[in-house]
Amino acid sequence: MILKAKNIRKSYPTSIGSLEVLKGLDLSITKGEMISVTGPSGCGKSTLLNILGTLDRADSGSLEIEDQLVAELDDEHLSRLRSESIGFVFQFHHLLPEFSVLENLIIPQRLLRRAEVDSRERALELLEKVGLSERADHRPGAISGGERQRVAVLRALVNRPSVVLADEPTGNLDVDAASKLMEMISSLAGDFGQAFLIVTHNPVVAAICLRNLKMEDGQLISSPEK
Amino acid sequence: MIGFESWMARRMLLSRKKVGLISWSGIISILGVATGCFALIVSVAVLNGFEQEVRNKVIGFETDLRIMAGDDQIDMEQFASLEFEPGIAAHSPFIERKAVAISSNDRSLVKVKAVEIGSLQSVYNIEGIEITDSPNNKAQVYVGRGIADRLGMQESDRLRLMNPLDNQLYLGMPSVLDARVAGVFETRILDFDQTYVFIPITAGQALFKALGQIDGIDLRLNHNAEKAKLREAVHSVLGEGVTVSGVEEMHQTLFQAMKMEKLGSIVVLSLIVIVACFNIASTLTMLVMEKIREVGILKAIGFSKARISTLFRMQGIFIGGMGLVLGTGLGLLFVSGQERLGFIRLPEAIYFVHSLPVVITSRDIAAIVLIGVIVIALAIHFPTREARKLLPTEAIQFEK
Repeated sequence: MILKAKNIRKSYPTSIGSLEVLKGLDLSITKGEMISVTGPSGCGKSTLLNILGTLDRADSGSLEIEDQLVAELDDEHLSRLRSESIGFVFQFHHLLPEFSVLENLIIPQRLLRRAEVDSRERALELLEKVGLSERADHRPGAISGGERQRVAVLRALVNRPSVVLADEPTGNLDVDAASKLMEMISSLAGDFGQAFLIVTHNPVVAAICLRNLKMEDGQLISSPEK
Repeated sequence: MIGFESWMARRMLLSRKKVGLISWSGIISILGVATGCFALIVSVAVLNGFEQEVRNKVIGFETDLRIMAGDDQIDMEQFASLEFEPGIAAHSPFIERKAVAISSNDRSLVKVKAVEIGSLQSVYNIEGIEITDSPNNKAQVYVGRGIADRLGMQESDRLRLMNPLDNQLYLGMPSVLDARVAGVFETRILDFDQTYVFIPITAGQALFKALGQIDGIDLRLNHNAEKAKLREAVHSVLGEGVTVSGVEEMHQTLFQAMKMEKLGSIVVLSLIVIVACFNIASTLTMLVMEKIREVGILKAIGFSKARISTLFRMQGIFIGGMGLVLGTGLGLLFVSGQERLGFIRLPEAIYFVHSLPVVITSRDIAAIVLIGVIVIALAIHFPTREARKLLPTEAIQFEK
């Protein structure tokens, strides 16, 4: 088990009182799993990803990632956990605009004190794998939306995390680019053995995942087995 | 790891995306700090330079150490044992009192300093005068340029010095010295040229009715003389009743005023650095605003709050440091150039020096750099703290 969330609750204050988004949610993720989470807008999918990715804290409940109880970790250790064990893919690529594609893949590795030469080698290897070697020295602004999103996936994978959390990764792409991206994710997931938790509205994306969950009334409900 | 963060900070600061305004603001901040540091270095150097010139001139006239008799008279025989003390280059016993100088044109109150005339150059650095063959001839006196002008006198003119203070008028006439002006000297220091008349010690003792007595002894020291040791030696030979003072003690007000002037200049000119640092703070705040989303992304990929702070701190240090190094460097270059080449000339008749005097010590440089570092650190602190406090979830969703 690489991630175990138990009885997660989260609410937000609103002008008409407190809005409870997650109501005692449970989730376990094992190595190499590909899970999709679907649900209507505003049902709390992104909130769930933020809490599982330790970017936000739950009001109550427990979250364990690789046997570490998240609530007990300070900012330094949480950051280390994010760097080592969690990869993020956002709806918008969110690459660092001041740095080249290659540098965007080097930076997360350098955080783990990997030598610059090794980091560069690993980044180039990944770019080669997805056919983006020629784009290595381009800034994110100089490549297409689909390419940016593929680089964003590579950034999430570059430190070989245990789990990648993807929030609408194809939400901003056309059908063709979305399909290419999902092919790439499936292929890389097979190669590196990371678990993927993908929040999506796209049924094609959900169909690629072996386990499908639906968010309803602040809970995750399993969709029927395929 | 600092190298990695420094590299990132530099790239974030100097990147070309949407940062025209920030780049300009950064450049203005750098120039602001540089101007402040340059002004501080140059003004401190000039104040030091003038202070040293004044000190040298004052020491030249007033001598390095002055022994003053207390309640008991100074015993010259006892002092003789000090004459060969290493460090003492020359000495002269003296009497210094006020008197009225009367020429054929006018009269004026002056300070009469009765010394061994042969020591005028060696002890009092009086230049441009010729000592006559019989220096202690009581008819020979040397007057300051100001007194000579005031009384309309020149060399060889007659001058009468009258001492009304040591006589009670109802008991007799005040004592008088009829003299001939043997030389007119010009020190251009304080009011010495308007005040002093030098006469031979024996003539002074007669004029002031102090036969066999002196007020004190002026000592001219060698460059390597240890003043503290000499003071001890003087006290051990002449007793604790005598007072030994250096030029700072003799002109305490003057040197205190120069110190205050220097301090005032540092405080006022530091304001330039402080204003420039407001610029750094606003540039960094703009940078933090510009990079809010990036801060969220960096936190998502594993940057801790401390590392985020370091990234922005480095950018502040880069801006402030560039200004500090540029300003201090240019300031030192200017000072060094002026010291060697003297390219800023001054009218010697007014300022008594031919070029702008500059002196800078490593202590001054350290103090100026420290002021810069403290002000820059304060300017960096607040924007950095704001960047640290940003919540990653809100930062990532931030719409620019």
